[in-house]
Amino acid sequence: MNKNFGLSEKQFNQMIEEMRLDNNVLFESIFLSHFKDCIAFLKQKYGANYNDAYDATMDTLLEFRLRIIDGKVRYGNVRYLFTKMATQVYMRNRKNYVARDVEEDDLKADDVQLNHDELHQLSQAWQELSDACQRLFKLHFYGNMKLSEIAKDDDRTPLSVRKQKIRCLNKLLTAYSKRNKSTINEEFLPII
Amino acid sequence: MKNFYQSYDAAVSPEERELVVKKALRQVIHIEQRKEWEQVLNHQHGITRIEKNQLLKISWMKLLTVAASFAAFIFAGHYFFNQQQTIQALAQEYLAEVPVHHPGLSKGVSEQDEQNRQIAISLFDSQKYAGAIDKFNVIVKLSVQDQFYLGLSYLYYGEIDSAIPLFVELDKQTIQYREEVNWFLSLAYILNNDQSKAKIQLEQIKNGDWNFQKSKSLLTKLN
Repeated sequence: MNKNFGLSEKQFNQMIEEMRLDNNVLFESIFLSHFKDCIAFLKQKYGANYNDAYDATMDTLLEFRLRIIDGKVRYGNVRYLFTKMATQVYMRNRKNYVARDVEEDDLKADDVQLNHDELHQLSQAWQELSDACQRLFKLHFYGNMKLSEIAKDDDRTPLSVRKQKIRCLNKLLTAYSKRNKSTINEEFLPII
Repeated sequence: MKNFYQSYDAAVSPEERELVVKKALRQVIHIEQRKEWEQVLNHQHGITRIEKNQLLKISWMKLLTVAASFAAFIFAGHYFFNQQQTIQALAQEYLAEVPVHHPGLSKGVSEQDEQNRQIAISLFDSQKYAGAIDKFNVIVKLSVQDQFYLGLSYLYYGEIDSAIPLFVELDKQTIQYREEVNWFLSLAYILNNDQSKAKIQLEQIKNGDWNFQKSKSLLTKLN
């Protein structure tokens, strides 16, 4: 199979632009189709059981998507990078269980790790946000779009998008604080 | 590694605080994204978290029963199969919704047990269930809490046959985890293709109990 999943560089860059706008159609059509192959690879090459291979591939998909958006994956040999990352994620998931022989230098754990309660509470706070706030956060935090780019896309001024972001952040943190007994210090809330 | 609240409070500038929110929100959005992709993989590519042949694993005894009721199965086969797939997919979805975390270390009888328990908890919270199973299993004197989290580790790892007896035993032994055991044992029975036991277990979940609404949804599909 083509080392870039059959994508030209132009198509790859186009895919990134679409992903940043929360349009994952092309990404999903390529990478979800590769899912089975990746499970098979991990099973065959590393003797992974099915569930571990499934989890590692899913984790890889989520991380790989963020890395593409964050500009950390470049066109060249995307298939190899994905497979290598899946191997590393599989090894990372199993690192206290089996000996490792794969470098993990580019797979540092996220330094903010929500515990079960926090994840639940923040998910609930997220659900309380308006569609507009969720969209803004998805584009800005998940799609890594600058506020000025969002403003241009929505035909608005950067200032109004910035104010919207602060309002949305306040709503999110207030909703979260209501659910979490340890309230966030008010002086740390963004000021409009 | 810090949790959200600690990280947010420790941040020294608005930019850092925003970065904390960004990282936390990415984890929240990942849950939605994961669910969405799991459904696409299941419906469009026929790929599920638990291998299909494991989901549909039928013991020899069950096979005999199936053979005896073959005629009835022919009539109801198509409908039954679809229902089975749907309810197992739903049970799997509920199981995968938000990973359960261990509340922390409880007192044990020996230092070695304490060490093993500590590692098992850490592995469980990191969703490394195979490792957690290994560590829980070397604890000499398993507490009720250990048994519950060992059962959960088996369930999340997909070793449903090992999870069920642990939950059944807990159900008899104690009411400490009554609501949790009712829920997870129900899911285990569904994933193990044992609808009659799943139904009995789901009916134990009363209004006001944890996941009552979801248990109703599963019961509706079972009936």
